[in-house]
Amino acid sequence: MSEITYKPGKEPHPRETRRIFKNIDREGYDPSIKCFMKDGGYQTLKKCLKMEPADITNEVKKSGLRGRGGAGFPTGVKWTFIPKGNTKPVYLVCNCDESEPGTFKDRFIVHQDPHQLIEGMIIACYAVQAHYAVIYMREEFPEAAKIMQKALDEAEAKNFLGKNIQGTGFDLKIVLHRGAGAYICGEETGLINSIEGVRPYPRIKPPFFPAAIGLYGCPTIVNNVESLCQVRQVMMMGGEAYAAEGAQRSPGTRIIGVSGDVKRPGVYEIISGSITYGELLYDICGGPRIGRKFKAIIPGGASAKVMRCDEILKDRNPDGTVREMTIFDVPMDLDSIAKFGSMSGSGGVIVMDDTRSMPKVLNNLNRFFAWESCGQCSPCREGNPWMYKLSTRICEGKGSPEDVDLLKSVADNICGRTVCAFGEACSWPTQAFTTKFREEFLALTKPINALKPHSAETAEARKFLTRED
Amino acid sequence: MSETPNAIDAITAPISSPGEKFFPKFEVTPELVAKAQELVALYPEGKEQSAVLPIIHHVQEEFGYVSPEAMPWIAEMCKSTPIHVAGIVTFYPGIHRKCPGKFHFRVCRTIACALAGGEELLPYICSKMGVEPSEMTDEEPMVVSPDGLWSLEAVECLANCGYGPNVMVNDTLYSQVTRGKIDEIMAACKKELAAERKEAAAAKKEAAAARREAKAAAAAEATETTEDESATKKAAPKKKATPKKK
Repeated sequence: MSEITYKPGKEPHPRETRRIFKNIDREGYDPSIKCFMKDGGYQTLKKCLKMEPADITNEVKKSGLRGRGGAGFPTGVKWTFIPKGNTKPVYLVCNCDESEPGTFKDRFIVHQDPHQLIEGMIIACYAVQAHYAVIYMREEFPEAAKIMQKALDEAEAKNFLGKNIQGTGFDLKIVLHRGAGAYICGEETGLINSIEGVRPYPRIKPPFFPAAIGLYGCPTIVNNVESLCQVRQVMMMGGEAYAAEGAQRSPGTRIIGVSGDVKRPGVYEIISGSITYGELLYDICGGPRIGRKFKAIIPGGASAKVMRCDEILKDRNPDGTVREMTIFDVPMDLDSIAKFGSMSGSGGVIVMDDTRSMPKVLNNLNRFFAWESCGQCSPCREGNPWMYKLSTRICEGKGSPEDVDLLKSVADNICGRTVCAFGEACSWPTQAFTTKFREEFLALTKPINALKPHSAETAEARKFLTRED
Repeated sequence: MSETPNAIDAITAPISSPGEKFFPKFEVTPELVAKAQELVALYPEGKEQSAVLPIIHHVQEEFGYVSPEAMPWIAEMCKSTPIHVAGIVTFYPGIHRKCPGKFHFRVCRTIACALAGGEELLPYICSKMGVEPSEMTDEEPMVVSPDGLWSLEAVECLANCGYGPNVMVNDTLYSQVTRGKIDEIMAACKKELAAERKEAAAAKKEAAAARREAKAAAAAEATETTEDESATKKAAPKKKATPKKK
């Protein structure tokens, strides 16, 4: 392989391991099929097409590859959930509705290296014997949609797609379907409804596990963009070699997007578990801005629970002794952070320094969730605007100390009472922020506010009855 | 009958916007039907309804927004019902029921961009466009300037969080946007509009000249039809363009 050089200023950090991102910001690289094939593209596919589909699934299972969309479910295991003796068509959907705030990894793949995804998709489709696949791309990627459509046409012209692919008798059609700006379409059953052309309300599981009853009522596999690219990587390296690298329970590389108050925000591809949050933020991202200190970290996209940087976390050593650490000592794999009550999710790390007001950060998140709730389940539809109202009231200095508890209790009553995981996603930030930064919330409140009316109408009705202060 | 509209009529009632003058009025043409049929053909047989979003996107690209007249046509194309299409149109924030301006600005205000100062850009852009920030509400997040040239919408997460604040102008994403960069973008937009107008004027002039010529030719040779006239007329409508990324 020839030496890879990157565009000036875009060179990977020495601690990065570029696999999926090998061609991102690479000097002289363009999204055309010619460029991709010159670099060994579609060779893995050719190898895979000679294998039995079940062997590919086994290889992916052996690799221990876990989905990169946020939930971290083992990809190979997901594929085996297609009912045995199924006679209906099988569909594969690529989830490119990257809408979790803080996550921005897929953008680079679909803009700069679309064929990598297509190759991964064809391999996955062959493994599950799907002859129809959909790339669900978010509406905010209009340029990527054009690039991807061109890439699909190129692949079809070279007979990597279409009828009788490479003379193997395997047919596959990939359709690019664009969303229209709804966060809920990132939820797999909502996404399926969106493709079916109905309102993207998530479906209830069970019985609507996509692998059994998915798109058009047929078995459907929904995988994230990065997961599908990783499938290609697994088949390139071999399942065992892939499993040998990185954290034991979540092998392979991970793409981490860092945003917020660091010197060098951006996307970095690392071997899972090879570095800690501290090394990521101080070594790779250059630490906090001058004169500031890290205050809080959201480790896995906006819906993950926030972590305080000065919080002492207690972990058990293998010999049973307890050791104390901070968030900076936690390794970056899929599970370590879960021990401390948060999640690593889709790999979007949002960092806040000591200049930030936590109630205001939460208020921003609450607005996001209030705006994006699909409205299907009452706790979420009504609870989110309520939480937004409460956090706004607190931020405006009109809240009372009880409002902080009320805010948390609203969140507690959404969590676990909805059809999809959005209920958890929207309540976790509120639960974590109000618990971990309670003093900041309380500092903005005044007990007298509990006795004051909250709306103009009640203020008018009670104008002679309300205490001034 | 009473004059009060029912709920469905209220949902599909037209919302006027000054942006309309920059887009053609919705009209069913053979090309539009062909495109819709092409989109329907992408999906498995009997699943025409899946094409509802792609057709809506195409209509929005051509006409700027999904007008009430377009909904029954879309429903017809994907073998659905108008109320179903209305349900889709009202669900997604990316589908406009009101015509945006010629240059549609989408400013991200979600956490990462907000930390980078995205929200502070909103009042500045409002003042540059000549609109009131208070016009932007949670119910109607898009405002259109009185001249129809600009529109502004506060959106949630454009998925480029590391490089905020992010602003999308039509189809182009600008990252790490500052006030100065907003000025530059708007100047570039104005320049583009001027160039487009000049082009359109030149095309009009050309068409007029061609028509005169054709008339003269027709006068000279009365039997000949004026084929070239219709050809030049077709070439005249201005193209919808997006600002170039710098």
